[in-house]
Amino acid sequence: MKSNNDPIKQENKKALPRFILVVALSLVLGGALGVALVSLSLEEFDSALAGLGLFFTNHVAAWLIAALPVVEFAVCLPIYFSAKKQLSAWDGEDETAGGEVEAKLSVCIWITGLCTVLAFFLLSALFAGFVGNAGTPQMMPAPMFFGGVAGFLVNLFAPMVLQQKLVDLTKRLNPEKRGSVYDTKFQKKWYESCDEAERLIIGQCAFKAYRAMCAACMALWVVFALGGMFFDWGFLPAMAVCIVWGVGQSAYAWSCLKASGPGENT
Amino acid sequence: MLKNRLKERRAALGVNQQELGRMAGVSRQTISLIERGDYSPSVTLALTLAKICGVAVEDIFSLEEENDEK
Repeated sequence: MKSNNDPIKQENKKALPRFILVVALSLVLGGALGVALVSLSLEEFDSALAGLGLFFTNHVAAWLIAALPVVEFAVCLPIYFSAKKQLSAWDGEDETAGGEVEAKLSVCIWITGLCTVLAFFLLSALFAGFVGNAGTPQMMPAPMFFGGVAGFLVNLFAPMVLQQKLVDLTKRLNPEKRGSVYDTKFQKKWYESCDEAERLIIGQCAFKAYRAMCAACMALWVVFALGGMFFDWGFLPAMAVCIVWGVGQSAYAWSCLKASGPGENT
Repeated sequence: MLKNRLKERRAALGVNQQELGRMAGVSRQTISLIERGDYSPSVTLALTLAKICGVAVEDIFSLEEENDEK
């Protein structure tokens, strides 16, 4: 059925000018950035960037990886003990107190998750500094590398211990929750013990996370594509971003496809 | 919009959110979300809650007429 008053077409017509404007602005900005990069002294910038990277891998990464669990515990433990104290005094009725305990635990879990990601990033910096520069004068000193690797192992287990404490406290607050952090199927078991409202909230949060991931991948792709064009970065970083982007897109689309199929409700 | 009198019914029952949640097989937060009007429960959960409170589902949940001001 064709009609000028078709609401679908009208919505498209309304949104199209803004979309064209955004694309045109992006092209102009991208072009301007490209021209600016070409007109700048790229070699100097590239060598400054490489020097900064070398300094980071050889002199900063190992110290950061050692400091990470200390900072993590220093920040999370007071919050954890405060939540534990609040939970002990909780009567099970005061909604504000219960919400506060949950918020504190969520913040700690967020911090520990971020620290784990940061630890993996720093480990890759250590590899670049030691293995990547092997046989060159820029090679990272061996004690620093092995000390950093030991720090990474601490970083691997410290968040796990902390998360186990946080999850145990969350389970005390919500006795219906199931799963142990040491269980390889922890996330699945935890999700299965969530009720309908909690699953809805998880779905809403997952959608926001998906949108954030898409935006971050797009921004990173621009950076790495420019890096590949104007610096000696190659196309590998842009490819890595595109793989993450593609996996996220596919997981989302596949889950939607499965969820909309007959007999599917998860 | 769905409005509810779950808080009143729970008080009449003399249980806290955690206990009602346990009886209904849901979390304390879900009971809290329903009471605050931030979550509309499924038909199954609404019926379960009504059964626990010993009333008809309409005695807890009802549709609030929206103002049609034009």
